[in-house]
Amino acid sequence: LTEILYIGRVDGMSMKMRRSPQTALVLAEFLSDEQEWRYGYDISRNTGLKSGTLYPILMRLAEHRMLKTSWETAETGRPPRHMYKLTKDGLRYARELVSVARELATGEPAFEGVGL
Amino acid sequence: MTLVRRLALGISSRVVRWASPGCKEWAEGLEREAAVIESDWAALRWSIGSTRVLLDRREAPMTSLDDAYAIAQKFFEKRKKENSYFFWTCVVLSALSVALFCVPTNFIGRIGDGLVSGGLLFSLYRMHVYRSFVVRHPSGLKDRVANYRSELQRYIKFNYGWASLLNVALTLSGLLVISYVYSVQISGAFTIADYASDNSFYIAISFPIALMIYMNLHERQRQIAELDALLAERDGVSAL
Repeated sequence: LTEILYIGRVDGMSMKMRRSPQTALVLAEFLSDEQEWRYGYDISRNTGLKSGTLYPILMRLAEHRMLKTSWETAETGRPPRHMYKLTKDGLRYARELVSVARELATGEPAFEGVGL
Repeated sequence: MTLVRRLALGISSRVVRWASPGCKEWAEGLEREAAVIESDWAALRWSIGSTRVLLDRREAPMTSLDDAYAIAQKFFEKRKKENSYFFWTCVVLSALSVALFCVPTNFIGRIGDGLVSGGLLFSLYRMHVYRSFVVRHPSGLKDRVANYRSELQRYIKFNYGWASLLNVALTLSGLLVISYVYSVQISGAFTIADYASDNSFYIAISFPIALMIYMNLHERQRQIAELDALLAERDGVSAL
């Protein structure tokens, strides 16, 4: 019950934000360096997610005001890149969701090998 | 530049061109990333993945209450025109279906005509009630945006509520019965499978139409969530 209430609290905070394992992966990646602006391709490489999976997640996070976006200051001869960073609300949500995901993940091995 | 790289950049630039206003910035972000990926094949895979953005059809984002108000004005103008158009279309179709109902035909055909007439008359009544509602136009910007939000909710309730479902069910079932009667008259007795294959075109186009209707609902709900966040920001309270 505590776990359900806990997840419910994360849910309420997120306004129907989908809690998929991929979202948890992306958020964990952002948490690895909270203050850094991140590029899409770097997140994709580090999480192993394809652009078609990653960008809808980023778009949803931005829609819920959890992610801020910015264009890189242009260097000569190179077009600016789009960068992403979690907002305060995003960081709070990410910490909660990632910790829930980790708790669930550490609980999982107990069911392995049961042969169901 | 290799052919693969050229293909990757070509896909990315088309994604930017065809992306909906609300996804343009993201499509551009994807395009820029494709340009910096060193491996040509990885860039191509990235570009192909970026086409996913095209499935997401959304209006330009509302970043401030002023934006929201500008979008609200367009919404009210568009609704006014569309409501009037749909209302008069309903008037004509209702009159036509009632006239058809009066034409002597067989019993099943009559049931079909009755269902269509009932559905259209019900729809006419609902349109009349919807149009009769006096929309307030308050003076403050925040109140105007809140008013837009409640109007969006009214729009969703009107188009996606139970009454709307009943409306569609009545009219569609009536149309199915009528088309079945006509098919039997033309081809003689035949099975449901024959009927489905004869009308496969209509069945096929009903899926994209249903998808579009669902996407419209999703977009309106997304806008309401966006407005909530804007209004909460304005109040100085985080909505998340």
